[in-house]
Amino acid sequence: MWDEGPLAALTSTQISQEYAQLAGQPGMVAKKVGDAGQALGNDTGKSLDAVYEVPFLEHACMEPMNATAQVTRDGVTIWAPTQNPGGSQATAAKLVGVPPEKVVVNTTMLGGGFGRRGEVDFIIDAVETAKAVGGAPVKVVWTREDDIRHGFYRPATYNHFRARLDAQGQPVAWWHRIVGPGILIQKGRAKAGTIDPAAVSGAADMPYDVPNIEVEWKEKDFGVPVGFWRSVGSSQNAFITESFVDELAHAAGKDPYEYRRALLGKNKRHKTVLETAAQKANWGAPLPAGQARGIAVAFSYGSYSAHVAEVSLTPDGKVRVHRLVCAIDCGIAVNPDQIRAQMEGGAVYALTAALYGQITVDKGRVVQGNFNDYPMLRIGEAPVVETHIVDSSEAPGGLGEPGVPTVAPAVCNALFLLTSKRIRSLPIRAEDLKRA
Amino acid sequence: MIALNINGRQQQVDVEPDTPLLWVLRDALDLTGTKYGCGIAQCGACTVHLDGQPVRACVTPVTTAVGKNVTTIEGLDPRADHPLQRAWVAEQVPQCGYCQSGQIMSAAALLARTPDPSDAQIDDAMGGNICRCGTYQRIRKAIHRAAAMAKGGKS
Repeated sequence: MWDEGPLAALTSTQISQEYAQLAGQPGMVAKKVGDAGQALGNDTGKSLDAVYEVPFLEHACMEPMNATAQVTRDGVTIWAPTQNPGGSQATAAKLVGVPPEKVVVNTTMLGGGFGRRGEVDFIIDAVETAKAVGGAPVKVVWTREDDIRHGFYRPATYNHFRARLDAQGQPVAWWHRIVGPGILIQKGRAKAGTIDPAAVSGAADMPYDVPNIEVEWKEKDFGVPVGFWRSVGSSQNAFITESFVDELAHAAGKDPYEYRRALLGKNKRHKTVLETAAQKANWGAPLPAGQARGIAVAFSYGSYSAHVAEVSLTPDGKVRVHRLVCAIDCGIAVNPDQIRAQMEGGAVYALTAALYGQITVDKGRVVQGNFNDYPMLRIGEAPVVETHIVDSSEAPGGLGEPGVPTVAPAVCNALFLLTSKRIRSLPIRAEDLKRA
Repeated sequence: MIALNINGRQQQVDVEPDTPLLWVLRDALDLTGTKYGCGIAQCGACTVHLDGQPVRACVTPVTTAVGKNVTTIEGLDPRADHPLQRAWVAEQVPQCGYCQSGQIMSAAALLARTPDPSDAQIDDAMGGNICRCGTYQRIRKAIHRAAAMAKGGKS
């Protein structure tokens, strides 16, 4: 009998509701400076309270998951576009019952990876099938629907923020509770009951000088497979953190760029990319009517990035991003054209998620299946991406990831100036920009 | 057997008549430059030309191609030296590369009818081709560069 399993009734609505309930309970403390709880109770300046949510996201590599395998008496040969040849070898060795040295993995060109091809599920498909047919090579190619419905999704999370400003508008308390699953814990690579580093990166290390900080993580894993999606924790935590600091700036009546800059005292590399992006984008200079700028800065994968987004709304309410000015400090710039290419690509990947990206679950199944209901940004919607590489002699940092985190918050921060609506849930929905 | 003209050569293939042209090219004729991305004409990775018109091979039954000239990325230029291919290299367009043969085939059909396209014409002609790596900015530059080359400008 076909068993639909324990998640047969799971829905995205249930996930969201249970997250909201759990946000009322304490989590594990990922960062603590001073006493945020006490400082929140001050009655000096304004207090802020906000909830941010992000959805599951699928990687949607252009090349659907696939692998070719051959199992003979001599061992296993695999041909696969994989980010994880070592893991593929170990997996096949275990499945077939041979030592790893009897497994040869030929890594072919990858039609996109973005973290998805670090998994070995598609390797298992090919090896198990090849084992069953005995001797002949077997090629397994997933359909796009298989690919989108059987992903390892960027976790959906729920975030409760509270903050307190002093009479001058400076933050005295920053309190952030994250509810969601841990990628490393789900994969058995971090201990259950500990803080999953992937869940809090970009949140626990938020760069601003606030005398009282508390960042908590409340683990809740519904069993939806989760995985490493281009920039991982920072893909969502930079959106959340950089949107909320923007809320603080507006509550303080300060310019969002200058407000950040003043709070980045000790973090010179953050400050430099922020200043570079602002200067190159002519922050503060007039824009055509109907356009606004938003800014965001973050650290991820060894590099520092900042974006300024120039955004407008079309007459029918669609978000149009005209230009993204990016500043990147990745340490020594080894290959400048590759840096620019990664910033251009990261921008499109991030903007696709901000404008369209959403995987929902109904009756224990992923609803979306192809590019008709899980749309991708197309050429006519793609902004001009202008990349400015900060001179640096620091150790080289990553580039695949750092082009992603600051795009969504820069865009949403610009939308706030345009519409007075604060986007606290992605993707950006037209109704959220219209609601009174 | 079904008779096809692929890249200027007559070919016989033994496939079901409703087989998508994509799988005939890839599996029967070993022309693997044409890629599978979605199967429902949403991504353009499988773009080829039928009598010069861009079509999505994943939703084109093989019988539709009978009596027509089929051009794939392998047949775009005998020496892989089409102005678009040179421009793609000059602008360092591809990242993963998977969508790029479809992108180039759509761009080639555009340039054949509109030798010096505007940005709006590029958006219109290339809107059916998804690039998940986000190379759109360079695709646009490369199409303008190829158009300039064809006019005898920079190469």
